[in-house]
Amino acid sequence: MTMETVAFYSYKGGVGRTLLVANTAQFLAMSGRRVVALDLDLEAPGLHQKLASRDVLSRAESGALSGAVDELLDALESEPRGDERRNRSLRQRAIEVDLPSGTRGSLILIPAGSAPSHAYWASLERLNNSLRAHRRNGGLAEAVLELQSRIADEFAPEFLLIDSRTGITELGGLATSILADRVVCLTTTAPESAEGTRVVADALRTAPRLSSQRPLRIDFLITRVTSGAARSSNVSRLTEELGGAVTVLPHDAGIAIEKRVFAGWRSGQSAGSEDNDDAGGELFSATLGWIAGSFPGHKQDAEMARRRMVAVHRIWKDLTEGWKRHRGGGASSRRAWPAEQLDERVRFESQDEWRRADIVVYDAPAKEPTAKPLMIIEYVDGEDRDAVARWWLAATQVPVVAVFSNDSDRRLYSRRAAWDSRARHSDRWDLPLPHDFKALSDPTDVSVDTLLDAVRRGHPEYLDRIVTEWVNCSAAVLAGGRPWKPKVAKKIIDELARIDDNEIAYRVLWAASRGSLDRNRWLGDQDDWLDEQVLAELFAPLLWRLPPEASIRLMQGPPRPFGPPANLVAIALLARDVLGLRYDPDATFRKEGQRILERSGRDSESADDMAIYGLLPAFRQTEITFEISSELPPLANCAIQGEEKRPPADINSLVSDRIAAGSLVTTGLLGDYQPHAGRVVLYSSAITQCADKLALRARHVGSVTLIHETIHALAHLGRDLDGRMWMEFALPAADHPLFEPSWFHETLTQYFTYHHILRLRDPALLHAFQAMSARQAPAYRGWERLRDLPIEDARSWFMSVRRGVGAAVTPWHLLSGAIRNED
Amino acid sequence: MRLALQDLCLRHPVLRGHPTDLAKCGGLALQRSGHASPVVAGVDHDGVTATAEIEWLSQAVSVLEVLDSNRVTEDGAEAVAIAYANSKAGWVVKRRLQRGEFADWLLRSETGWLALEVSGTISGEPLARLEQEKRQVARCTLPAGRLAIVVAFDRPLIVAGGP
Amino acid sequence: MTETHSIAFSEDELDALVSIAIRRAEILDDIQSPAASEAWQEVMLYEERLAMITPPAEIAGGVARVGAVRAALAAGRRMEAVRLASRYLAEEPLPPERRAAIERAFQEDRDRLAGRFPALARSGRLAELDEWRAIASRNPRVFPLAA
Repeated sequence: MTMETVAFYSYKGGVGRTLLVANTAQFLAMSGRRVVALDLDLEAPGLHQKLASRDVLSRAESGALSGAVDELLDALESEPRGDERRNRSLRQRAIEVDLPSGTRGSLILIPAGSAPSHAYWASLERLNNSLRAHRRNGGLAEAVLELQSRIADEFAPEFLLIDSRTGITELGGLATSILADRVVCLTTTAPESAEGTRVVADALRTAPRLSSQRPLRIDFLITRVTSGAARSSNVSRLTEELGGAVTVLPHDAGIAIEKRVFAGWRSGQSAGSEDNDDAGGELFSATLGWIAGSFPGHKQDAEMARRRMVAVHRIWKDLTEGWKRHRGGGASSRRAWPAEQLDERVRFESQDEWRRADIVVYDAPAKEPTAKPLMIIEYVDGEDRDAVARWWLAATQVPVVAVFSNDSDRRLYSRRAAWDSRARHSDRWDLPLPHDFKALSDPTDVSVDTLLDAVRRGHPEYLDRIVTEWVNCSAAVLAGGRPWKPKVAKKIIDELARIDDNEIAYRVLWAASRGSLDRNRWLGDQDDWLDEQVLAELFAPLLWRLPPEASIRLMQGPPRPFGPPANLVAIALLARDVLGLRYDPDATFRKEGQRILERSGRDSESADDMAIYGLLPAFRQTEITFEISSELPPLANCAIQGEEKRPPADINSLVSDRIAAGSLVTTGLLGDYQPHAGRVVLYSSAITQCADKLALRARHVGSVTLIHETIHALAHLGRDLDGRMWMEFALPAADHPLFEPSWFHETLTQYFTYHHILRLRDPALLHAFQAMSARQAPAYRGWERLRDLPIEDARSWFMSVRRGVGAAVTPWHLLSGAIRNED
Repeated sequence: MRLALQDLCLRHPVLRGHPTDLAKCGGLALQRSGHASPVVAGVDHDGVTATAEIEWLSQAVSVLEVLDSNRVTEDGAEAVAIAYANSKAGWVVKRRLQRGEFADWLLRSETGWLALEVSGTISGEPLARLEQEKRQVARCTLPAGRLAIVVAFDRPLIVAGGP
Repeated sequence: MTETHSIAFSEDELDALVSIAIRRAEILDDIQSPAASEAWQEVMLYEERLAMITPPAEIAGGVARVGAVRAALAAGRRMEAVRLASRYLAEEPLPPERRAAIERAFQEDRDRLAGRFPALARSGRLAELDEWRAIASRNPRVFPLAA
């Protein structure tokens, strides 16, 4: 017999023995070997759970699967002559395990029987009774040796792998001492397991063998070793005590909950490897390494098998853990595939041909009879991928086919895109997740237009992908290595800016503000710089262009996990680029805090030195806050004229009258800036009325107002190069009966607002600004005369007023008409 | 020669407590073939003919309905054969032999040992059966005499002979 | 095997007991009763007791010795059969014919097993199993071994 019999044994259960048998069998078969896997763990069989198809598992559940127990019973109970059971071939009970198309090897499974059905336990009891009662007919030794001989005769395998029983049992003893040529002993470091294994190993080393057998080879595997324990004295001592070839396999916390072959290696929570992008973590690599090293030969096939297993494993991991880079708008909305919706090694037949999918993704738990396949994934080595994809698309109704030749070289094919006989793969390279099948008509189509459309239709899950695309088209190109696509980049911003839904708009801002986390890690050290680019070129423009409800919600919301708050960055950019000022609400805290520490003669004693950080709120009055109010604006409030109190004005009439009279104002009516509190307020009712009257959209009126009032705030709180704010900043009170807007303030603010909107390149905003301006009070129209004034000149004028230099440098020569110089 | 089946256990103490009552089976087998006690049976021992009167205690034939017919024939034959061997040459049962010895019983007397192979018939040719039994007992390798006896209950006839 | 040393049976008593036990075991064998194995074990016990009190050179001693081995094989207790055979074959006075009978008993058992386990027989390992049992019976180890 040239077949090598390897018995896998463990003194205690739960050490990963059955999974190892299954994976070893798979690997060997995929390496081109002929393999038979035999489940002799009769009291707790499980090998069929790892290797058999769902069809076979169903048969087991219904008691219709026969196996080793039935073979042993037939041998012991049937009559040597004339009994038809004697003529039954093993092939009738064996299961041919599907292997990848083109595999030269084979894998036959002989399960224990129909476990866990009641019929199985009845058969097992009958076997035990038969062994006791009919010993003349031979015992367990004859029966299992007969089974082994028949396996050799009928299948001529190169390897017979036996999953043998734990503990001290007759069958376990036979499997290891006279069936096996080699025994693989698995143990953990737990004393009850280690001690038992030592005793059994000693027994095996001196156990008598059949005269034709070579001495028994024993390999040891110490499993479930945590990373800390790996170097512990327990492991070292056990290794020494066991002697011989000892391999240590790491612990994987998720392995116990998984049921199937690759799943056992598929936990993403391997100890000490939260972000491990390697081949499934330590356990996977160690196990594969042990298998390949323990069964050498057929190097090329083994390497191909290893590559395949690694690649399929990674794919499974990607599918069930998702891919962090493309989770957007809240992790919960782009969940990975539930493992129960995946199946592996599924055979599909079409006419006379068949292929085996490495992984099939279903629309429901795979074991449900009505589950439909959504995506078929096959690893090919050396075959034409387009041809393979064509076969799948023709043979099945599956919407998506993925064909890959290593874990990163993937091609996706869509049924929708296959409009002719040529199967062309899409540009998408990551695997679709469940939401892609709901949100996208073609899950493989992740073009910018498609994703933008999906976001507009209420699927913000694609925002991260869109932001990444924007980065790839614009900011990242500055690092080199990819084509620059400014048109696409602008399109992305413009399309995102068009979003009206406040919730989605908020999600857009959130996605654009999250910095380099989960983005472009491949840029390495340039993450901070890239973060700045994204904030400045993507986030900041969107903050001013999207509906102000979303913008203000973001500005009020929680800060980013790291780095300065995004809104602060956007406001600071506005201050710098338009007004030439620095917006730094913490400057006073830093200055005063340093002074306090220097006076006390000490540094801060710890990171949580509350004595110092407790000062922070005290010095934060220089921070601008934002608010949307549904209350009446100041202009509509009760004003005292002499002794007479007037009731609050109706906002509808107020706005209409002002527009009709060409005296519409922003500050005091549509919005306000409260210098004493540093607060910018938008009045939603007034904004809505104004938009309605001017046939504009409320969001655009609101955005213009937000920019306008923020510029007021920055004029006040922004710091010049000497670090000075404008302490004498004051605006006329809009609720005063003699209220008139400040020419200086409003002219300049309108000017800066105009130029900021120009920089945003948003036609809708510009139109709204101009439409509003046309109906506004003269003080709000003065900017038109300064339209062509360079910003630096306007700034210079502004700064001189701020410093109290007066109107000496006022470019009044550009103005005509009655202009009041309030300074 | 008188073969008193009811005295079997007296003459062969080993047979006491035997799982099957050989004497009873002998009587039943004869009654089944329509004989009543006593009956004269022919004897042919290695070609030498004689007669033997077989007597037994009458049995209720209704018992035949619950007993295995072949068992009755074989056990009954053993009773007659043992009684014959004892009457003829004073052989006494020593012990039963296992099937692998190619004989059913080991008997002894003052002259030595005898391996006895027995069979019974209710029809058919007893001499042909005797040849079979003689060939069987010839394979017995014990240092003992070998004798085969066939009892044909229908006649009744006792045929005996050595290999 | 349970030895009841407190009870000493005479040879005649044992002859009666073994005769009864043989008959019973054969009847149970004929009807393929699961109790047959135990019945043959009883035969083995009586034969073994007879062998202890009868010399190997005498016919009764020879019959008992071969009977013990046969009964052990019939009971499926092959390790026991090997042990008994080893013991009896080591007795020099045991006649050659009895030795041959013991060997024949094992051969018949092997033939029976070969009929039941043809693939094992073809592989040549059926005979090796007997040898293995013989060695294993002399070296009991932690793993219970099939008799």
